[in-house]
Formats: sequence, structure tokens, C-alpha cells
Amino acid sequence: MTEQTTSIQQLSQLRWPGFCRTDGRLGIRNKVLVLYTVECAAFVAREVVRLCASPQVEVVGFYGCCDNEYAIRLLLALERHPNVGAVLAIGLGCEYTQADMLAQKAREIGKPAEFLLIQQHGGTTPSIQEGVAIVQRMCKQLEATPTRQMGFSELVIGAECGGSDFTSGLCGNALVGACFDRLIELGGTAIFEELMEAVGLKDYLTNRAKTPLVASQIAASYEKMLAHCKSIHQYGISPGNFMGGISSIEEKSMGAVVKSGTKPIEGVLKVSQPPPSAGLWLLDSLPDPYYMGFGKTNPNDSEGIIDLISCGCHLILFITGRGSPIGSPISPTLKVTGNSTTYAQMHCDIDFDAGPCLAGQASIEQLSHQLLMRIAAVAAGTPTKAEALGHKEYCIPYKYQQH
Amino acid sequence: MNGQLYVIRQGDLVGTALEALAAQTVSLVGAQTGSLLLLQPLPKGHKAALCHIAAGTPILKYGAEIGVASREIQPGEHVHLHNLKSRLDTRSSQIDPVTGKVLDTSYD
Repeated sequence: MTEQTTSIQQLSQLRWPGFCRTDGRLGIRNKVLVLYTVECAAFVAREVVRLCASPQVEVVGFYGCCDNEYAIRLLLALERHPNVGAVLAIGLGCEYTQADMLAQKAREIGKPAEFLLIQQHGGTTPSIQEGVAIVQRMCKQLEATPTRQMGFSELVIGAECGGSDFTSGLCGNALVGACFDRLIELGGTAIFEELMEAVGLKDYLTNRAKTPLVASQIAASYEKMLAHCKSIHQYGISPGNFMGGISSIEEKSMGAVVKSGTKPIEGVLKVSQPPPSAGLWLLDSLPDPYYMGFGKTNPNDSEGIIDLISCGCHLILFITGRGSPIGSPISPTLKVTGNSTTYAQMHCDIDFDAGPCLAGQASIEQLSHQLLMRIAAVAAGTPTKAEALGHKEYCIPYKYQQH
Repeated sequence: MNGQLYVIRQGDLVGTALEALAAQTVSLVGAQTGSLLLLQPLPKGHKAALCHIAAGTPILKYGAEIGVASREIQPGEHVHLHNLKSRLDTRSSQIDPVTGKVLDTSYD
């Protein structure tokens, strides 16, 4: 008990430099974000990033030509993210999403921001040349970004799991849940999502609601999710899950939800909505019922991760029993596994081995302290395995979600 | 030499400007001949009415209906989102025809 209290005190005193943004938030990275506003502009945007050859410069975009409010809001949320220092928006010129509007919104919050349209700029080669020149200028400008000391109370962390197996619920997710509890005790903010893997847990979640209003919001999101799964006869469980020892979506769900820890749920967020206050928040990333037929709602883990990042998560904890190589742009993804065999086999991709707790060699509490120290190091600038390898996956689909 | 308005089929109610045209008399080329006084300047690629079109009348181009007149249209008048509406798509006419910005959604 004494050891745990001392650890909390040590953690509360930990500081690292955070990049100052005009809205008062601090970032743990200072990225130049190159955004493309339609698939036709993606190659130019990717070439600009490739030729700049810097981990600071990244590409994210929406492939659709036709309008989608959800996707545009998401791109706006990403450019407003505290880990982003500057923005270059690249469009073709005829699509719905307006690159000039994106650049203007970023400038309004004090970030260097420009746009270019390929059709106006003379096509691929001049656009790439100009894009590289602009980004290199921005990298130089960002060398002067002011910083100030930052601690866990100013950190927003999201959690996602993928490639789950029997260790996820016992160990990997349980560890992240313990970290979330500590983070919230330190005044920080935690966001979990994946309602598709909360089947059978409606009461478990509503009982943790901060207020009756929040309980009703959680219930509404849960019912929406369940109706969707029933209507398509498909639940969020994959062949790999079954091979790894999980027998039902309910079993998977309980194993997944332990990643949220034990603290009360402050409220339900929608995608691109930052939490209004600290504490634990549930992100509902499912489309509105009217638009459920639009496509598969949770196509892959990267979609969930970019949804969490759009809500302002500085860092993502990704728990994987079977192993996953994925990373993310803007906010680093730190990978945790409860399966020591997986850790040994995919050592280059996974940051933290929680397996020792299953082997009885360490307690969840001890491991949570170690993981939080690792998080502090990543926040201070140490790259995660995914960052070091250059994994920057993202997935922004067409979707409709009322705010 | 006059500017030219290109007409695709004989029964069309609109002709297309192959270059930007000033508000003056233009020659009809293609499936129709004659001349027409444009009431407004016409941007490149845009259409002008070849005759008077009553509100609610189907507007023909390529010999096919491309929409209906949402109000009365004079000969030589610019025909576009402000006076032509799709029978099916109610939303697209709510775009700024110059900038392409949607007018029914705002982002803060």
C-alpha cells in the first residue's frame, strides 16, 4: 500500500516539455500535417511527405469526392489536435471538401497553414515541388514553437484493442484499466470506445455513469449498437479471436471493457468531440441508426484509433494479444501485450510485455507504474516501436453522426 | 466576329458557351443557327436560354431533360442553379455556383 502511494506521488511530480497551442492545450509532438481532401490528391500528398523524409511530417486524408460532414469534422479535429503544429491541405480542386477552408481554420488558431489545388497548380510535378517547399518552411518555423512543463494531469490517453486472445481480458486490457485508474487519480483524461465489443454489458456500463443523464446516454448508444449487430447478423468478433481461445462476443466484451478501469464514466463523446473535462469518457463512434446501412461501422482497428485521436488523445494504448504492427499519425500508439510469446515473436512492433503478471512475476499495480513511466518517456519524445518503424495507418470512412 | 453559343440538338432549349462570353449578341452554332442577345455575361462552359421558358418547364439539352425551370427564364438569360433544378437532387443546388462551397452546412 505504501509503495503504491509513493508511486502515485512520484507520478504526479513527473514533468516533460509540452508544445504550447493557442487554445491552452499542450502537445507531446509537433507535427506538420499534410491533409488530402480526395483520393485524387493522395499521391501528391504522400509524395510530399515521402520526399520530406522526416518523422515530423505526416499525411492523413479523406478519399471521398462527395460531401461528408463527419469526415470534414474529423479532418478539422485532426488539424486542431495539440500534437499538430502546422498544416498543408492539398486538394484536386473539384471535390466537396475545401482545402482552403481547412487551411483557414488552422490559421485561425495560430498554426502555420497553407493549401494548394493540383488543378490550379499545374498538376503533379509542380504541386509536389511546391508542397515540399511549403512543408520544409513549416518545419523550420516549428523549431521556434514554445514549450512548457506538462504532467499527467494534462494528458489525454485513448485505449483500443486489436488481435485479442485469451490474455487480453486477463492481463493486457486489465493493465490498461489499472493505468486509466491511476491517470484519472492524477487528474488526467482517459477515453475508451469499441461499443461493438461491449455486448451484454449495458448494466455494467450504465451503473458506472456519473449521472442519470449519462446513464441514459450510455444506454442509448448501447441499444443503437445492439440493434445494428442484430440487423446484420454480425458481431465484432473475428476468426483469430476464436483461434486464440475466445468463445463468444460476451466473453470478448468483458475482456475488452476491463481496459476502461473502474472509475465513473463522465459522459459519452462523439467522434471529433474533445472531452469537456477530465476523467473517464466513453466514445461512441457508431453511425446514427438512420445511416447504419451505409457500410460496416467498425471496419478495422485503425478507424477506431483515428476516432480516438480526433477527440484529442495525445497517445493511444493499443492492447494486442496476437500482435499487431499498426501505428498512427499525429499521436503515438504504444502497444501492450499480455502474451509474452507474442512479445517475443513480434518484438520489433510491441512496446510493453504485460505477460509477467500472468506468470505471477509482477502485479498489475507494479506493471501499471512501469507502463505509466513508459508513457511519460514517450510523451517526452521517445518514439514508440510503431513510430520508429514509420507505421502511420489511418482509416476515415464515409459516416454520419449527429453531434 | 461574334462569340458563339453551341447547340447540340435541334429541340434543345439551351446552348453552351465554349468560351466566356460578354453580354452581347452571339451566334448560334451546331444544331441551330441564328443569333441571340445574351442578357448577362456567360462563364466558359455555362448555358444560356435560347427562348422563353415558363416556370416548371422541362429544360432540354442533348435532346434530354436536364431539369426543370424553377422560375420564368428569358431568352439569352444564364441558366444554372438559380433557375434550373434537378427533379431528383434537391441538395446540390444549394452550393455556391462560383466557389463550390456548400451553403447548408457550417463548420466552426
